[in-house]
Amino acid sequence: MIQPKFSYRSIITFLLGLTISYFLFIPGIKFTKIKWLAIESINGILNQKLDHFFADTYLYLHTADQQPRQIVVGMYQLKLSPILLDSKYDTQLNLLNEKNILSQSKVSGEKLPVQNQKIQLSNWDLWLLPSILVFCLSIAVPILFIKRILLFLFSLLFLQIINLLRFLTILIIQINQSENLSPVSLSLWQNKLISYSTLFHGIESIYLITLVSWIFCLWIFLKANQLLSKK
Amino acid sequence: MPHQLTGFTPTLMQKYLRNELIKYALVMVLVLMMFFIFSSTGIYEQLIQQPISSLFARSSALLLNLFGYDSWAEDMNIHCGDAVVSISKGCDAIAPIFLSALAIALFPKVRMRNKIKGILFVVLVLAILNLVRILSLVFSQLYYPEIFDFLHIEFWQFIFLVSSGALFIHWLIRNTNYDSTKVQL
Repeated sequence: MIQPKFSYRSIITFLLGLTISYFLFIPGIKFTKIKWLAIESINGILNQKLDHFFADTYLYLHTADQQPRQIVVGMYQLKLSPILLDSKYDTQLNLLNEKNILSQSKVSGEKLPVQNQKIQLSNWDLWLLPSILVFCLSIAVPILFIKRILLFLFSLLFLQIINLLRFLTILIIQINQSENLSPVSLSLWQNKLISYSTLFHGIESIYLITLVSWIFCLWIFLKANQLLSKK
Repeated sequence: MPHQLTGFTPTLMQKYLRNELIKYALVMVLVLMMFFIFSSTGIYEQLIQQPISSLFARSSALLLNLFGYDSWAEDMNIHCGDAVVSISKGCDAIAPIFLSALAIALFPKVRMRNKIKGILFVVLVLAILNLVRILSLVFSQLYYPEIFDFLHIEFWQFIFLVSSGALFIHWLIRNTNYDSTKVQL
């Protein structure tokens, strides 16, 4: 028979720690300004790193905080009006046909016709919620404090890679579905893989993938600790 | 360590693939992925998701009537006063029930009878929990609509995840010999 290293006491301690920290941090962030500060930071980073990720498409994530924004595409300055979205969403993803914008010669005073695609996104579900869940899972593990922090950083890094892949698949699907944007060329299997990845975009999958990823990271972390302590 | 007969030394990867718990985890992930792919098909929706959601809708309406609320079920929707709650895909508890049942069914070296008992127990507890979830969402829509989204997503998704994990671990401790000195993975 297989003997797993579990006891009721350690499991109950872990579950209690997890539940208490989860219900402290989730409402404490979701219903306060912290959420909007975090979303604005995430959008800032993504705008900086991914604005020219796709050859002919300019990407801009506009936080739904009712503030106007200004973006620069080539020699043009474009104004984005403040947005207010449904409570489920916190960000408007703007995908602009950069090639088309740069090919135009604007006469001063004239409005620049922009080919674009706008999508409502929830960066809370995509980035923040999984990160908070990983934090709560990591700090609830009954190990040394410094090890909990290391476990959190390691699992957060792993999770962010998965989240980034999920985000990129959303972008590719939106670009390829839009009539206004230059499609991303993909091979047949890449197309299939991306269409299957949409099965894992639901909220249930976000929770499940976060948990499975964290368990995988925990196993690697404990294994590495074991190997290091043997040396 | 070289193999007794062949003298062949297994690589780290081969060593891990021989480990039953690693094999178990890999099969679990594969079956789960197949389940998600199957859940996107029309056959799944027609034969599994819609009948289960309708059953939950009818049971919830019945319970609400027992509590004195005038309610009725229509396909996958529950009507109660001004509130209408739809049990759509993801709110039917099929995924957490399947996950827990799969974790028990695939676990190596446990008697089949204990596995069947475990699966029945998990299905029953999670189905009851799902009824509580649906009722709480109906009441929230009736009395506290402002917390509906939080209850629907952050609260109940977490409760289901933790409950599924806790039920599986409870079954695991009861059906395997716990020995803290032995580490398998």
